[in-house]
Parts: sequence; C-alpha cells; structure tokens
Amino acid sequence: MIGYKQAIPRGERYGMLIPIGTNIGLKKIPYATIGLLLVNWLVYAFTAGMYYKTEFLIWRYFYLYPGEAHPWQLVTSMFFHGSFWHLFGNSLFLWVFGIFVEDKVGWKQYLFLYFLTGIAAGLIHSSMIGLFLRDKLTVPALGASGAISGIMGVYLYRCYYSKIKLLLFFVIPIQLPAVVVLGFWFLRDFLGGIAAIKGIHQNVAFWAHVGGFLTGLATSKYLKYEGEARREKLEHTVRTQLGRQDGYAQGMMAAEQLLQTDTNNPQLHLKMAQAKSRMGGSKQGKEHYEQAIKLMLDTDRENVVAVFVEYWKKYLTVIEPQHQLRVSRLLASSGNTSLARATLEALINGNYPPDRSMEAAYLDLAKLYEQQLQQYDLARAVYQQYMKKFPQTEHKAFVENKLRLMQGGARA
Amino acid sequence: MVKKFFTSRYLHLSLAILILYGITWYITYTTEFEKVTDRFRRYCYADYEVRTSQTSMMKLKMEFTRDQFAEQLRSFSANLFDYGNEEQVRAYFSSRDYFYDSNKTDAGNSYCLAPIIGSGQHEINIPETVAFRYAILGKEEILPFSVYDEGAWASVFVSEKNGTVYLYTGTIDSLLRWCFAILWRLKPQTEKDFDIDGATHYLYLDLPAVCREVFIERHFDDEAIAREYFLEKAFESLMPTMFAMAARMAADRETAFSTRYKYERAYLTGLAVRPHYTLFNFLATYGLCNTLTRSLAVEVRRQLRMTIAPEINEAIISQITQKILTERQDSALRDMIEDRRELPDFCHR
Repeated sequence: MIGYKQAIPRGERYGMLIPIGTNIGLKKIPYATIGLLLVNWLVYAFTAGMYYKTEFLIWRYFYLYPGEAHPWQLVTSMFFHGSFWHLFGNSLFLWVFGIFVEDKVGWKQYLFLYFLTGIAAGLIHSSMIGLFLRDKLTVPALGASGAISGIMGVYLYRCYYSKIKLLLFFVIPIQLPAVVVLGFWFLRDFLGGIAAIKGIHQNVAFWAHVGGFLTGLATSKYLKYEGEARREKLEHTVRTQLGRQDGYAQGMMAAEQLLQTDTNNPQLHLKMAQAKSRMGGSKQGKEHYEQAIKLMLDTDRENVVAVFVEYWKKYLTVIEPQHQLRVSRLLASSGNTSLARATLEALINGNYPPDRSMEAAYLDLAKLYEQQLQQYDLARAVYQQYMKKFPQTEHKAFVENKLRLMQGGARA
Repeated sequence: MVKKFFTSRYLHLSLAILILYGITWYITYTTEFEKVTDRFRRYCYADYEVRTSQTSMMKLKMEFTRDQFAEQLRSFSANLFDYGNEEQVRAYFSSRDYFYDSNKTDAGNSYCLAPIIGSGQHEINIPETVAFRYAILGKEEILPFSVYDEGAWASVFVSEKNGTVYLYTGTIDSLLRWCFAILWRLKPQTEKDFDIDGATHYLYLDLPAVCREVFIERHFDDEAIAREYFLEKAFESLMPTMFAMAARMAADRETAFSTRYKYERAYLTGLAVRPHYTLFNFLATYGLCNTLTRSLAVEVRRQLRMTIAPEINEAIISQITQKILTERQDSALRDMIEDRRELPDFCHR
C-alpha cells in the first residue's frame, strides 16, 4: 500500500533482492491467488488512462482516506495500484508467498486471511496517521501490499523453516532462510515507518505493511498454525535430510519426533527403516520395515510388495504370520511366486504358535505348489504336515480329500 | 450449532477487526474545521493548477477537480459560510485564530491561510518610536499563488493590512529545518564544524549557546524534541529583527511608496536596528531569487564586496543596511528599483 501517486517497486526497496520462489513444493493449483492477481490486473487495465471524471470519482470513493474513510474503502483500495511497477511488485510478492499459504491453509482460509490482514493493514495505517501524521489524514492510500504483507506474515509463521530463492541484482540467484528475508523486510518497513513519524517524507504506507505483517503473524498464532508448521518442518527435514549420504542424523531425529505424534505413518516408518538399514541390517531398521509393511497392507497395497522385496533382500526373514500371510498372497497374485513360496516356507518352518494364520499359511503354500508350481509331491507333503500339525482342523475333510486324490500322483 | 458459531475463531477475528475499526475511527476523527480547511486548501490549489495548466485538456481536468472540491467544500461548510463570500470566509477563519486573505485578479485568484500563533501590541524604536498591532503567523495552510508556483523565494517576512502587521515565520521555517537536519546528522564538535554552508555558519553566530547545547553537547537524545527546542530558540532570536521590520512597515503605512520599496525599507530597517546574521545572509543569498528583494540583494552583495573587514559582524550588517537605506532615500533611485517583473500576490506581503 502506498500514498497516492507513489509507486516504488518492492524490489527497488529491497536493494535489488527480488524473490522468485521458495524451496517448498506445491500440492495444488493456487486458484485463489491466480484469481486475486487477475482481479488486480483487470482493475488496473480498466482504470489506467481512464476518463478524468471517472478517475476523480474512483480516487475519491475507492481509495482509502484515513481521515474520511468509508468502510468499503478498506477493501476497494486493495485493488487499485498507482502504476504498472507498483502492481508488478505486489503481484510478484503475492505469487511467491501467496501460493504457498493458499496451498497450506486452503483457498477459503487464504482469502479470509488476505482480506482480514488487508483490512487490518488499512486500519493500522489510518491509526498511525491519525496519531502521528495528522496532516496526512486526507492523503489517500491504495494498493494490495498491506494484504500481501499479511500473507507474508502468515507465510513466515506457517513456513518458517523454508528458504526463499532470490535474485540479487536481477541476475545472481541466492537462497536465504525465510526468517532472514522476511525479518529483513519487516525491519526495513518498521524503520521506514519510524522515519515517516519523524517527519522524513515517505510516500510508502510503511505502517500498513508493518500492520499487515503483524496481523498475519498474530492471526496465524490465534488459528494455531504452529502445530502444522512444526510438523511440516519435521517432514521437510525428513524429506531433505534423511536421504542424504552424510548428515542424515538430523533427518532421523526429525522422523523420530514425527513418529511420536504420528505413529501410524507408513512412509515415515519406511524412511526410518531405509535410513537405519543404510549400513546393513539393524534391529531398529527391521522393526520399522515391519511396521511400514503392516501399515501399508491397509493403506497402500500397490507398493507393499516392492517394500517387502526391499526388506527381504536386506533381512531374509519373514514378519509376523498374520501380516506375512497377506504379503505372501499379494506376492503370489502379483506373479512373484518364488518369493511367495519362499516366505510361506519360512513361515511354516518357523517356530510360530499354531494359530489360524499358520493354518492358512500351510494351506496357501500347498495351494501354491499344487496350482501355480504344479509340484504335487510337495503339495501333498505340505498337506500331510498340515494334518499332523492341525489334526482337529475344520478343513480336515477337504485336506483328506485332497490327499486321497493326490495318492496316485493325480491332480485334484 | 449456536455454540459452534460463537466459539468460532474466525468470528473472534472478525470481531477483533470491528473493534480495531472502532479504535481507528476514534483516532482518525477529523473535526469539521479540519475538513473545511482541507477541502478549502484542495479547492484553492486546484484553482492554482487551472491557472498553471499547460494544455487545454489538463485545464479541463483541473477545472473539473476544482469544481468537485468546491462541491465538497460547499457540503462541508453549508451551515458555516458561503465559500464565495470573502467576508464570511474571513470571519469564519478569524473566529478560529486564522489569518485569511484572498486576491482576485484577471490573471487568477490567490489565497492565503495561516494560523495566528501570537498577536498583540508592540512598541519599538527604529529610531522613532512606533507602536503597532501585530499578528505572528505560523506555517501556511494555504500558500499564496506566487509562493505555490515559484516556491519559498516569493515569500516575505512581514506585511501590513488593515492596520495590523503580519509576521511570517513560515518564510524561514524550511531553511531552519534544513539547517537543523544537516547539523544533527553531521554532529559538529567545534565552532569550525558549523561552516558547512553559509546558512549554518551564520546560524551559529546568531545562536552560539543553543547550537552548542543542541549539536555539540547533545543535551537532547530525541531528535524531535531537539528540533522543537532549536526552532523555538531560532524564532525567538528572529523576532526582534522582524518586529523592527514590522515597525517600519507600520510607520510607512500611510506613505505613497511602492510596495517593493516599502518592503525593502522594512527589511533594511530591521537589519539596521536589530542586526541578525541569518536574516542578513538570507537576504544576500536567497534574496536574489525573490521578486521583492532582488535588487536589494544585489546591492547588499555589492556593498559586501566593498567591505574590507575579514568577517561580517553585527556592526557591519548595521552599517551596510543603513548605508543602502540612506542611498535609497533618493527618489530617483527609488523609482528605478521598480522592475517590470510581476509582483508577488498580496502586494502587502
């Protein structure tokens, strides 16, 4: 937001530090940000060089006059800009920060925050003018930067762990922590506001920026964004650190913290398993693999086979019978019969208590030998073992029939 | 459902904005007088812009803007005065301790509105004893057209109207503020360090104690407080000279002298009776750009070149100004100093 007829591009005030992006990824298309940008540019296109009588009326009724504000001016003034560069600077900042805030909080909350912080910025600007610069009470203010500052405040609270990609002198790409960039930005505006109070002529509404930014931070705190932010920070650390060749301990610590609150996250268990098994098998690595596979059986059946294969290669051992049985069935149905057979054999040869899972494991292995591998002798042997182990089984008649049919080497 | 509505954090935030709106409304509340003054200023300046418009389109645009402000002014001042009636406007502003004057000519209108920060009766020897009514004006709310158009060069220190002499503190205000700003930033340590510019050098000569206190010894940590103190003391030091100027202006009221000559006499008398370095430097330096004092400034500089003293002092200021004053008593010379340039608005200024 600026005082009338002053359009100082934000980049220029940044000392040629132009933000061009961040190091976090987007999950959704930012429709609300695109919509806001579109409205701003359309308003600019329609009002640039318009008939002077209309221009005066817009100037009078749609810009924000601290001393004679109509309530609607708090909103309408957000959509008018003094020049192309004023709008361009604001658009750049809204794009860089707004899309991520929208992605994190959803478009409804995002629009709520945009207008809330924009209105608060206008009110704080007006209050500061009323308190310290009363001779400027009738100087109109316009621009979206109060609202954008608010969004930047929300961004800082919500994505404090991120890094901002900047262009130094328009060409040199650098990356700095969001806290540093936005802290610097806030400090500049705050000092600008102090200078304005001290009487140094400034045509930028610094207090609108400061007010919007603080409102963004305070609103984020009130809406309790810190929990999600902390979680995301840990996730971010896990994503960026855990896969690294060196210095992955930080990632492991982050993953362990995350697991304390999110014990049923299969991806986290998998990442931990992979990290802990990096230098060969380990007890903890095995446990995380088992946990990941167990959870994936319910949530991500498509990938569980691949994860189990990975696990098997490293540990050559089966997991708990009831889960192993399900994995083995998936292996068999996906065509990996040799591994299905190996795991079932390991299961029945293991020292597990004879429960229903074990019972099913025998039957599955026998069925695999018989139907998919056509190894009837082996199938018969499994059925015989089954009968010895479970003489009172409810499938007794079925198995005896099978054995009878296989007596002469014939297929059942 | 109702409980959920009332415990919604979004509702709380919206209510907080409403409260902030209320606070802002209270803080930014503008009085009727502030509104009227603001619209009047905008109206006057839009009128000036019509006068200076280069193209017909720009003129059309400014005329429309002026008419819009006139409309707003009419609605704000509906029960107070008719903005077209000079007497009513003057009476309205006078009742609020404001000096208002307007000058309507074929070339266009000019207005002046300034707060009266002090007034009364004063008596002074210049050397004859002159008693007069005076009003000290603060920074102008509405500048006359000539000052608006040409800048501070067209402004004056004293003027007379209807038996009252007006003293304009706004004329030198920006120079004093500039001096303060530069000295505050450069932090002079010794007397020599004040030789940044002629203005700062002579200011030190006028106010050595205050300059030492404010800039060298740094008695004030807060810049705003220091500035206020400094300006107050600077204006205090100016007042004796300005009163002497005002006395001459009052004494010459009934004479048939030209406006320019009256102002020159007042300026010279002020400096002769109460020498003041800053005002002398102002005349010699900035006076060249001022329509009213240009020829006087040329003469002062000529006299200064003839002076053999290494440093200007109060005696030299008094001598030079008295000498010029005596020379200008010659009517032939007095007629010559009326150049063809248009006089600033409010010839009495």
